[in-house]
Amino acid sequence: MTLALDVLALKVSADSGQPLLEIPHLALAPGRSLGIRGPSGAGKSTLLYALSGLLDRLEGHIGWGDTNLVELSQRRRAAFRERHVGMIFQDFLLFEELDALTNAGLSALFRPRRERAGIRARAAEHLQRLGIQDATRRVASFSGGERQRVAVARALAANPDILLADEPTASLHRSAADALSQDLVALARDAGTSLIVVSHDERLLACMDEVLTIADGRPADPAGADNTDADKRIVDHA
Amino acid sequence: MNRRTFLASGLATAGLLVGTPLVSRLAQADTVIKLRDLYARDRGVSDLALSLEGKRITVDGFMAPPLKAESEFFVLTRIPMAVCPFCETEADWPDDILAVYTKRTVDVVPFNIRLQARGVLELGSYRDPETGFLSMVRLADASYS
Amino acid sequence: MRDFWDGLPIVAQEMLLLGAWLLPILLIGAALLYGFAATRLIRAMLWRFRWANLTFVVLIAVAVGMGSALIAQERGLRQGSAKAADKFDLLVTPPGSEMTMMLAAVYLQPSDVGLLDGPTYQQIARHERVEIAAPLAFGDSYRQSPVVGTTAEFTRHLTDDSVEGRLWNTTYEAVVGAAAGLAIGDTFQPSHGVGEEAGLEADSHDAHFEVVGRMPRTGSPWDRAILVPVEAVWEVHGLANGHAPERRDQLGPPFDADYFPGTPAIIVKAEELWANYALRSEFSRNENTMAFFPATVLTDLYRVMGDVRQAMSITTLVTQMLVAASVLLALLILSRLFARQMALLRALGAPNRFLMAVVWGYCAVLILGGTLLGLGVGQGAASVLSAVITQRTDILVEARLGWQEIRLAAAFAGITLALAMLPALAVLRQPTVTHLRS
Repeated sequence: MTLALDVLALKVSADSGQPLLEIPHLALAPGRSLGIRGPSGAGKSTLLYALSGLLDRLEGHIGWGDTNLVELSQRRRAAFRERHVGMIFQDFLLFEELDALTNAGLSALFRPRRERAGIRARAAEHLQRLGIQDATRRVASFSGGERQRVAVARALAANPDILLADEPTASLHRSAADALSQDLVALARDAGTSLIVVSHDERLLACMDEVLTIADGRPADPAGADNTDADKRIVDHA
Repeated sequence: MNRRTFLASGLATAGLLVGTPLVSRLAQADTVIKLRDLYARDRGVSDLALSLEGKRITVDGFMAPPLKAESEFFVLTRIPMAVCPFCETEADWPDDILAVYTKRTVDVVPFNIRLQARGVLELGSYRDPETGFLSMVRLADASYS
Repeated sequence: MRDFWDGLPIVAQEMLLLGAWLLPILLIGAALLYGFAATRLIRAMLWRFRWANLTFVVLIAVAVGMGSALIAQERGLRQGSAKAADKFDLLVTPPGSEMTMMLAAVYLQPSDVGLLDGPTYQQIARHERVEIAAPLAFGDSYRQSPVVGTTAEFTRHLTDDSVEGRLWNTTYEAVVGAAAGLAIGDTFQPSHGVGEEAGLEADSHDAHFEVVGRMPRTGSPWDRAILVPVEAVWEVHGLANGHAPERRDQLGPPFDADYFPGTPAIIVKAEELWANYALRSEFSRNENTMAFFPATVLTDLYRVMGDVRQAMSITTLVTQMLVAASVLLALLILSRLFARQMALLRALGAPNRFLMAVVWGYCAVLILGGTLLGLGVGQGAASVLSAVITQRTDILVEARLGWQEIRLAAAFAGITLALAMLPALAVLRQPTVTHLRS
């Protein structure tokens, strides 16, 4: 099952009530990839976390398939994430004391017993595909690139429909960043997973089907996502 | 914390565990027996005592000053035992007291505070192997409050 | 129901009480942890903050250990001193302070005491209910050992008839305590008085004793004592020896009232339980004598000690609670350290209950570990203290952890584990997104 994204009149505010982000309209077909770029503090990550259901002060409509995240309770949003969303972060956020396999299969720890074996098996499979040879090593001994691969395997282990990545290559050196970008896009494409990436990394953004630029809390072009092809062209020429 | 309050709270807990309110249980607690009723006029044991032998009974009285410290044993008396030069003659002695062998080490209660000892009534001559004391009537496995 | 409870052995009663204390914790634990595999993460967190965790465990252990050592020690002291007085049911002495007389006769502490005369002794010894009436004549010493004059019968009573070697057959033979520093066959010369000044040559009695028997350890100050026939004590002081001239070689009772120089104390033993009480009131009625149960004096002493203990128990309980509170506070602060991990779990869609399970389980390991270690620390501290007291007083004190300490430890663990819900709940209130981004 894949989910189409449909955002309408989304408004995100800070706890103080100050508006952070306004998205009049954004759509993404199932299985497609979207890059979000823009200057620091423009609201890129805010959009990403709003789409993951981790933010509270929302107005408007965030539709993933038939589900409107804005209307769900925190608890239901967590359950939605558990079922449909995988996330990747700039700092990997791994448990240093655990081995690669346990990190990649982390969600098995709180999933029902009958799902655990499946999650672990997929985690092992993704680790192997991502070139992590010894999955029983503690991640404390891994390089940055290897860690992010473990994080990718973790995000994919639960078979998500949506993969959200926040600056996944920012902590990596160039060659590792390029290798990870290719793997990330390839894995998402093969699994039919929608991929949304917030990044400053133009080489990564170049791999995306669509790119959205955010500046000052709103899409740089008032038409928003409708104009992403223009952005794409600029990227291609860069 | 006081041992007796602990026991009481334990009882309450045990009562709750079984799901029966303790109050109704206490209401049907059996009657308290007077010390003197355990003895017959001829210094032997009474018919009442004979009929209760081996049963857990409650006897009312006072704790005599202890003969042994930190023991599982005390003497229950009918009246508070103080050294009174007028009222104590040897003839009064045997049917005034009851040996109480307690479940736990005795926490001594002043001799003038009334208490109820509850334990299994035992009859017949018995020499305590530890203290060497001879007694005719005893409460065994007792607690008091 | 009540009969059922009363009929249970102590172990079963204690287990049920312990269960009652720990049941809420088991329920909380089960409710939080059910269906999750949280142990991997708890282990990881324990390892990550291992030094801080070790500090918490040690803090809790010391707090719990001090409390339980104190209680165990006080009980050990009571049991030890009670056991040392076990053979002294009824003591008859000249009127005075019961405490002084008890310390002198039971614990052999030197003190200035009066004498009971011959007719008084006779009256007691001839009483039909009295099984043993032994004079105790103390005052002399040899080195650090008090020399006590008494009867062979009392020596047998004191040792449960298990003297190594034999009892005395003649006046100048002695039976020594296990720690008196004399062996069978040794000879010695007692001196007047007890303590530092005793033992000066000028003060020595001109009499030589031979050791013919040795008592087993009793765990009381009598282990250091030297027992001799009471006749010998009288004779070395130049007094009549308790017997008429025509029977002057006799040892032990019956004594002649006319030739009885006096004794500071008489140990009385009656076979029948009630007779002890009857004799006590009978001899108390006499204006020349005072009769009391050393156990009663001890019990009064214990009551005072018990009040002190209770005050101290409350202090230690408060200390424990303060330690627990500071540990929980520290955990609350520490929970900020793993805020990123918690935020990650939330991002993965972990339910609140799982986050609480991880944090509470982590606290539970520290608290339970500290409490168990604390009981060990308590036992260790109590053993050391007991050894010191035994060495100084000759009263064998053995402090072992009892149910009371275990109950207190269980109560402590129970309350603290319930409070450990607070850091668990605090974790839920932490902002997620801030912690996901560096």
